[in-house]
Amino acid sequence: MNTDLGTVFVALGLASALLAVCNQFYALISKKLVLLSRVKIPVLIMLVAAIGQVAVMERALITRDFTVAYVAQHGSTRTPPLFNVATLWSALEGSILLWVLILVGYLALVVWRFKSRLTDPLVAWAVAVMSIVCVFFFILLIGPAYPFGEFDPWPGFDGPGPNPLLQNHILMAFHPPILYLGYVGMTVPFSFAIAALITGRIGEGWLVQTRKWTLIAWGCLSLGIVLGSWWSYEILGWGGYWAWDPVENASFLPWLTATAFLHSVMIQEKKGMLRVWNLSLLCATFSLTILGTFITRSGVLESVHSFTESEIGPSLLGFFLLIVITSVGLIAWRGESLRSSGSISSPLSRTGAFLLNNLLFGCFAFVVFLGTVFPLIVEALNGDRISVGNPYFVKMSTPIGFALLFMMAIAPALSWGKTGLDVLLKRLTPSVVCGSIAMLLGVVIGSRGFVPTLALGFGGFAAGSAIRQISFGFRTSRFRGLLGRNGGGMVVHLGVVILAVALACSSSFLRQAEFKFEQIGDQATLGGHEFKFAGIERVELKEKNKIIANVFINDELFQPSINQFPFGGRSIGTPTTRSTWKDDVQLALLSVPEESEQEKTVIRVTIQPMVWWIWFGGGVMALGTIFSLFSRKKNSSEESVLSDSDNKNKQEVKINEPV
Amino acid sequence: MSPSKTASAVVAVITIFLVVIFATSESGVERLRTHLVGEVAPPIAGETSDGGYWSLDEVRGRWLLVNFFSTTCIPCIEEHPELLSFSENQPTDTGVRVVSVAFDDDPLSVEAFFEKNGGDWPVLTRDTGRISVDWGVIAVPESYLVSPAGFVSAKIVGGIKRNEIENLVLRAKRKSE
Amino acid sequence: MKIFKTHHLIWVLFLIVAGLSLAFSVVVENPPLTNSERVSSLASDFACPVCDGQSLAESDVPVAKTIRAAISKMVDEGSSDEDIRKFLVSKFGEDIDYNPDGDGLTGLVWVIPVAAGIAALFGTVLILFSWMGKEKKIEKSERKFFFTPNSSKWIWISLVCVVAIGSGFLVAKTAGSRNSGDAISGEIRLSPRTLLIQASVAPREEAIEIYDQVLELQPSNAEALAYRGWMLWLGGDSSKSISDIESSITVDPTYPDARAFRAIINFREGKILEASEDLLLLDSVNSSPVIKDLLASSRFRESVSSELARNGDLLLALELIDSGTKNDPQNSSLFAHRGWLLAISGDQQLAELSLISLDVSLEINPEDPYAIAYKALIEAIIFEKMNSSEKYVEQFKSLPNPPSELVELLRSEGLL
Repeated sequence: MNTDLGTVFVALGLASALLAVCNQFYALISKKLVLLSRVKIPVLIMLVAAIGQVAVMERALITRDFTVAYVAQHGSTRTPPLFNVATLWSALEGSILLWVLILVGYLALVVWRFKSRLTDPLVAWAVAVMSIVCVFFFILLIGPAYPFGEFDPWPGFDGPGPNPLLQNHILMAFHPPILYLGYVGMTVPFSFAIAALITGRIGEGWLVQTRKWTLIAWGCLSLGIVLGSWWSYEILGWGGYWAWDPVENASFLPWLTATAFLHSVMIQEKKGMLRVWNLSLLCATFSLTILGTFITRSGVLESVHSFTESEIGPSLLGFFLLIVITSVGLIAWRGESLRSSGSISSPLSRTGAFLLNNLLFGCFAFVVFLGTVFPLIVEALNGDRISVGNPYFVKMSTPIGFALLFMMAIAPALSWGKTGLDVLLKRLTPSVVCGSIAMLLGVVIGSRGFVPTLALGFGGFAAGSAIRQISFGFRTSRFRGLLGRNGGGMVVHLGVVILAVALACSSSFLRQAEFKFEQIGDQATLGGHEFKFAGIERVELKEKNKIIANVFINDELFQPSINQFPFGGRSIGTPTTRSTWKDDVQLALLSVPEESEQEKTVIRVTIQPMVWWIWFGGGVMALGTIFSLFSRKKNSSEESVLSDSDNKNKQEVKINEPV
Repeated sequence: MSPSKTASAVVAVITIFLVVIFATSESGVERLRTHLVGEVAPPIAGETSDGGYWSLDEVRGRWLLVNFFSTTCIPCIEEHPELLSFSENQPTDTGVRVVSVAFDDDPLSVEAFFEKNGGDWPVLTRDTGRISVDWGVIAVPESYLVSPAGFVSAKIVGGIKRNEIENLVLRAKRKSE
Repeated sequence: MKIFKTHHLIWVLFLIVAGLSLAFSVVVENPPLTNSERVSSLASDFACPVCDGQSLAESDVPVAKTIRAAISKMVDEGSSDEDIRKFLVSKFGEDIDYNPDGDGLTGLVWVIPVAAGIAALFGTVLILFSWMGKEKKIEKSERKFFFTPNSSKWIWISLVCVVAIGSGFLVAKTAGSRNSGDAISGEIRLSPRTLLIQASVAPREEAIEIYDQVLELQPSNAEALAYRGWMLWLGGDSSKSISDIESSITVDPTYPDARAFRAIINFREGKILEASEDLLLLDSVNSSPVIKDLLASSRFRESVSSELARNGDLLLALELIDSGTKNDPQNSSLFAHRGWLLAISGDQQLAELSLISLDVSLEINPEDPYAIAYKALIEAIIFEKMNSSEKYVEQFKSLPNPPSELVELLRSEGLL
């Protein structure tokens, strides 16, 4: 029953998506614009279908309906309820279901938000493009990623459950949906970008309006990536949270281009320039999300995060090619006519800074992209197998990161127009004080080495500028000074600074050791913490057997364990983390006497400072994003994100900036 | 050509190039890692399961089959009878000698395994980690054929069969003549 | 001349603070990482050959554990990072190294981004100036170095290309090869081996400090533990020294020097049986010449065996001596002492056996003072052969530097 119902929904979704596309094309080409308003109907049906298919699958998972092949392959009676729900996105087909749900959700939201403007060709084209994307994904669901296959379970059949690594932590329930909200959300600005290219209407307020959507998607993507890192960190047990792994890079690339866009679009608003570049950034962001999905699901590049290989690869690759060719073709066709003739008065201005910003993000994205695909290129060209991993990415991205921190410091202090050097220095005085004090304090507390200390300095520098901007907002509008693009943006910057500095410090001072304990009472010390071994115990649960080691860290009990899952005989280590604002101590149980040739219990201890601040920084970023969605004043023409035309803003708008 | 068109063309070309590469690359390609073949055999020395000492020097001048295994790996267990029959059918003075190296395994289990299943060739059980790394072993079972001069002449990944090894030895002997 | 405003002063002041802090943090040495941390840092820069994209540090499959153990051994032996990298690549292939090579096709991964970045920077500057050029109201002083766009365009372009590609290759060369872990701050990692050698020739106080350092790097270094314990004991701190030496024996039960030290300490504390046990164990392993010398010159074995005999355990005492002579057949003093123990046992038959041992001792070393003295005493007191005893006494008197205890002994028996 579930399979039939599910299939019906999928078919319904595909049909209505096709219907929507046809409607839009027909109406636009034959210029019968009135017909465009009835696209609400197919979109609504799509929404019902998307929700329906997810509901059906969840029901099947929760009731452990093994007649559904997907449930038989990934569900289990032994999996705890929360993880059963999350099993939806633990494997390929279910993840596409989630993707479609979010995609159609966004489409419905767009149609609703623009309901009074559905007859506008720009909006219509955007809806058309989004519907085409929906068609693609529904085709995936009916074809290579079909989730409702049938299965004939024998009596007493029990599924294997999701991959044990995915059952170990509650973040499994949050990271994928939030990440998808970010990933999929980039479809909206992309669609509007294509629509603008097709209609040639590039100089209007649509850009500002979609900027809000981009911001929300960006916020979700940022949060999703940070949660993913946190999850890795908690699960792996050796202190790593980012490995520059192809799948991680795949999620990072669109983030980089989206961030570049969010900044660069301000130049477009103020000066009307860089319009074609901004459109390209949006197209690139969306293309990268599809490419990223391809990399994650095709197995072309090895990663712990990959889904198991499937036939979905070629389809995604083909779609990626289609998108790029379309975007590139449209830009080539329309590009010149959309150029604006703008001018600036001096490189030492916020415009110049944002231009440089574009360069920096572009370089960053290029480096990450090249490093990720390079092994494939080399292998294709001369057959050698090489690896490009952590050392490469760190060496390349550290200077760029420093440059970006520096830009974060000086850009808020620059005016949109020409800024005198002396004026700039004066404005930056509080920042330089902040930066150097941060450096000094850091060194006093124990920071050693060029990278972490300089990071503290630049971080303080940037933080100073951000706080200065926020204080202006406070001066004029009290707590509402935190809101709006300026305020919220500065809060996000603060979050980035905290995150960047924490990153630099934690990776520079990692201490790790493997201790071998024999008897209860055995002790060891590392990095100022004392560890006392208190024995091993075994616990048998429904879905797994746990071997738990009891270790006291400074009189607090921690229990790293090894979980053994009967199905497939996999043993997964479950580390524990003692997190304080100062440092994190992770314990991972590596082996117990019975299971290896040693007679001792081996526990790996990892001590890393400042890790908690990484997650905190991410949280501040998310908070700042929310702030920036609100408007500072109800009738502020400058702060409102819904201003209609950027032609109005061509004159230089003053920021609350005492000179 | 205008900048937009040039840039677009460049991006299109690069994208097509990349797509072709992605489409034609194979994932999870079987890695043979044959760089040990033709090289001098790395040293093997250590305590055998019956308390004696064995080193590669003892079989200088003889063909040798080095077998890396573990009692917990199914293909290893399956290949053991083949190894046994191969070893028993080798002439004592001129035949191929066999030595087994246990990979990440408990010495007592290995001894018990050999007691139960037979096999009277030297078995190294303790501190075999360094030997495994020296030979570049990444999975078990792996077997290497070493020539009398001390060079690695062939590498077999996975479980072996008696006639396969015998053929391999014949071919290797012929090649070295 | 410009008047310096307040903010200029603040800038200068705080830039100095920042600069000093940075310099301080770079110059003052980070405490050197322990060997196991160096192993983790190295392992995280290499791929696990059988895993889906995990590093050697992350993965816990048997292969990864084995390779980590091999790296750990190499680090303990003092190999450099480059040595370890070469070793791993030769065994497992180039793709085990996460740091791509700087040469060849692979090197392009370094060259291309740097070159493209510099070219793009130039391009951005161009765009910036072209935007500025459109402003009618540009002052002359703003136009810095960009004069006539068209004529010098190609010169600029080729110059930028050269700089860009050159920098790219420079980065490839430096980054592609392996630095010791931290590319920018370059820490020096001391090897326990070097430190131990330093400590062996240092005065006691300094040696203790050096051993502390070694144990920071490698908490389970048996040699450092044993010798630190010994140094502490020589300085009078017995409780800590005993725990160090015990740890050393726990860490490596076959390390002879720790046993020797424990034997001596036990003896001094009156634990004779334990001392002799350790001595016997010592004989079964190969101890260093230093230890052998230490024990021989202090006549340690002889003292312990005397005590054993005094406590009535003659058999054990003889066993101890025999074990010593087995290892050191040329030690005349031991044979002499053997003879002495046999003689003072009170048993007439044993006394005759004692002469044999003494003769052996004299064969080895005709001038052994102990053999001579004991012979003199035994001949006189047990066998009452005054003449032969006299002979030996004369021989004894002609010795250049006889041990004072023997002189005392002979005097007390009236022979001297």
